[in-house]
Amino acid sequence: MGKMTPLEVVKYIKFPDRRLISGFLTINMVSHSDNDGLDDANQEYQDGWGGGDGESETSHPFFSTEPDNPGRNGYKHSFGDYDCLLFWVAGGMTLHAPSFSSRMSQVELESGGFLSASSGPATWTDDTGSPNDAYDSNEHWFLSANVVHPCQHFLKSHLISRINNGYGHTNTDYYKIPGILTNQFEYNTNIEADWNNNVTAASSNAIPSNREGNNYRYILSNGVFSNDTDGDYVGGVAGASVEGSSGDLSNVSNNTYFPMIEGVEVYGKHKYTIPSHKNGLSGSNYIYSNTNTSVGNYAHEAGYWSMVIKIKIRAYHPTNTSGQATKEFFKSRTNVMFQPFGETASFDIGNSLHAS
Amino acid sequence: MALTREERKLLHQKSKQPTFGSGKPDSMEGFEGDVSYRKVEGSGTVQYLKQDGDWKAISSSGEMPAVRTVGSSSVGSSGTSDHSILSNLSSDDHIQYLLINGSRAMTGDLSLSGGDGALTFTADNSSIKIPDDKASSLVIEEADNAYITITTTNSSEKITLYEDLYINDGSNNIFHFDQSLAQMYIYDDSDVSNYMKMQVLTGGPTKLTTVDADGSVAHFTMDIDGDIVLDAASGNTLLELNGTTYGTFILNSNNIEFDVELGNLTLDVAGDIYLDAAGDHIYFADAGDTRIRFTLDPSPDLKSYGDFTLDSTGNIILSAEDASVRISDDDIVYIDIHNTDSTPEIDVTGNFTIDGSGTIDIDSASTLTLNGTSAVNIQENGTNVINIDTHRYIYFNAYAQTLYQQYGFHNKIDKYHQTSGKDDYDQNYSILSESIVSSSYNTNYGG
Repeated sequence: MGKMTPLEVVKYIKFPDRRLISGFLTINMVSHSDNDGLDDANQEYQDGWGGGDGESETSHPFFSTEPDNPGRNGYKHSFGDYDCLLFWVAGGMTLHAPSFSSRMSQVELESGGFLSASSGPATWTDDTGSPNDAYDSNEHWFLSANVVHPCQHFLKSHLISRINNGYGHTNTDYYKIPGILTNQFEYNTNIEADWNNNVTAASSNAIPSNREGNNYRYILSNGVFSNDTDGDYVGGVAGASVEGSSGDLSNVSNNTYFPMIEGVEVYGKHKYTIPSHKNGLSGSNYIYSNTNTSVGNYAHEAGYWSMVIKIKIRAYHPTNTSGQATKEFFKSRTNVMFQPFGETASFDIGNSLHAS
Repeated sequence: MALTREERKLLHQKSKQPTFGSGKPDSMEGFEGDVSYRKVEGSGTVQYLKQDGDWKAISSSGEMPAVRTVGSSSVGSSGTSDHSILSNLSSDDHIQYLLINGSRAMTGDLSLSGGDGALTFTADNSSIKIPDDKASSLVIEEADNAYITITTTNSSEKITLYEDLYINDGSNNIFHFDQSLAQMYIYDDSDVSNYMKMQVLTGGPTKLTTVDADGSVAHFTMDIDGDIVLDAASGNTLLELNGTTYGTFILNSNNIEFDVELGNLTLDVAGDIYLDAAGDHIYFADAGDTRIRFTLDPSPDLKSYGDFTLDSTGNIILSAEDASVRISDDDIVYIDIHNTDSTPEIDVTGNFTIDGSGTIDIDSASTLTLNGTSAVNIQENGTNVINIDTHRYIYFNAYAQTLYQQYGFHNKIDKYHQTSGKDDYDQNYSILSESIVSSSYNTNYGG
């Protein structure tokens, strides 16, 4: 048993080259409205534990350990299983055609351990190629040191806030939701901007008044639940139910719902494929080509790129207890909104890397 | 230089004038047939006619001048040559003489040997009188072949000509009445190869023909002080071109029809064309099927029996002085364009659609107002893109959610909500979104 690699939902937003934008990225994920008549996930799983659906119980967060009874049986609180994140995303990507210098001769390819012969017919020592590993002298090959690919994305995201109801689990066998990393690079005073650059120092424990450097945090949730008695919640004075107080979410221990998001990645990516060979089957030195070759064709896009929004979802595998998860624990719906402001309004949303 | 035709005519007329003088004219004077009036002592005024090279006295206001008889003495005649000495000269019982005063009628035929002046009248107001009330009061004939018969039968008087009649201007026959072919010619007196012919054929067909030798200007003109009446008993009046009928006026009872049997019909008028129908209607038909009817009562209308197209290479202008142009169906006005003189407005009864196969542009130099009492829709290919309801809420892309409250702006959109900006690189703000539903999940959840 182990922690599964989360299921990923990935969206690609096409951007023009070198346009700086910034804006809010909102991700709302919730148990699907089809589940409105059901209890929240932890209650459902606890109620049905061992009832034949063991495939999902073996994975994290349960690890085949029956969760604590949340005490919400029959409350139909599937709506409480949500995770909402607000990021500030800034940056863009700069694209330039890679440069290749010092094309390698057959002698150099052979001496570097990439070819079987320094002249005449030769084969690639890594045995790759289609339809065979024969060397084609029309192909251009370069040492990795002579290939410069300067394309760089400069996207950064900062979680402004995250709100869910799942940070109150105390069962030691229950895998808690991961936090979302936030960085805050700080000086203690601005004098240090001149003399003492400490921002490379990682610190997450310093007293705020003393901290400096990168004061990173992993955010499980933010938010305040109002238990004003005028509000309606289970166990609230004004609530219809008086059987307990599990609905008072200002009490951390009542926040035992099932947030689904394990992480969010935001980065830039562009179309770039470059053929390569290595020096032997187990070699570690690589050479690259900017032509069509028997191991693939060179392609590089310098006009546009894609901003990737990768949402990592807590999930399981029906048969495996580790590795890549393939199923969510329950049906969900995710709404994503991005409000870019800046140097472009030319966007195209897709489900794969834009190639045209 | 030769004499002109007119000069020859004048000379000819002059030559026929009598001459005047005293005494018997000399035989060397004048020409055959000339007449001369002479004062002759003892005879008064004597009329002489030159005949057979000599002047002969043919009448006198007094006694006839004595005629010298050459050689008469040689025949030993015992008579006298002076009638005045004859006894009983005034007795009208001489069977072989006519009285000079004409008081004695001839009892037999008068035969003249002919010749120039064979029958000559010398006095003014001379006449030939023929008997009254006769079927053939006077016949001019060749042997028994009458050329002219004058009938004086009371109430049936007539002159009958049995041969062709020519009227000559001294040089050419100008009029020719051809009795055998029942036709009449009038020739161009300057060139008789040009003429007009009127002919009646067997059964009564009558032809009027004009001929121009050059084939170009033999026009026919009727310049009538009164009416021109074409009265065809068959009702058909034909218009032909070189013998081919192109148009026919057909006059039936209470109906006049003009058929153009070949080609087109053009009314080319320098002035106006008036169609004045007291019956109130003017019809345009296609092979007998009425297509268009003008009703010409005090409120004229035009009715089309089928689709109706106004196809103009220029502008089509409807100008209504009462400032209203209406389009109706069965007397119900569905489109009323009014206030055309100041602030034009189109009133429509029922739904109104402008369906263009191409671009429709509404170009206002000032404010453009779309005013729908219950809604304003802007569609793309039949689907509402923009809808403004009675609350003045604006819905884009058929936004149809039921909301607790409506908003001023509603937009149904997938992914690309909106964008605004100045230009590439400048002030761009967009809203994008995506909705994702699980594609792989625990289907036993909640089971």
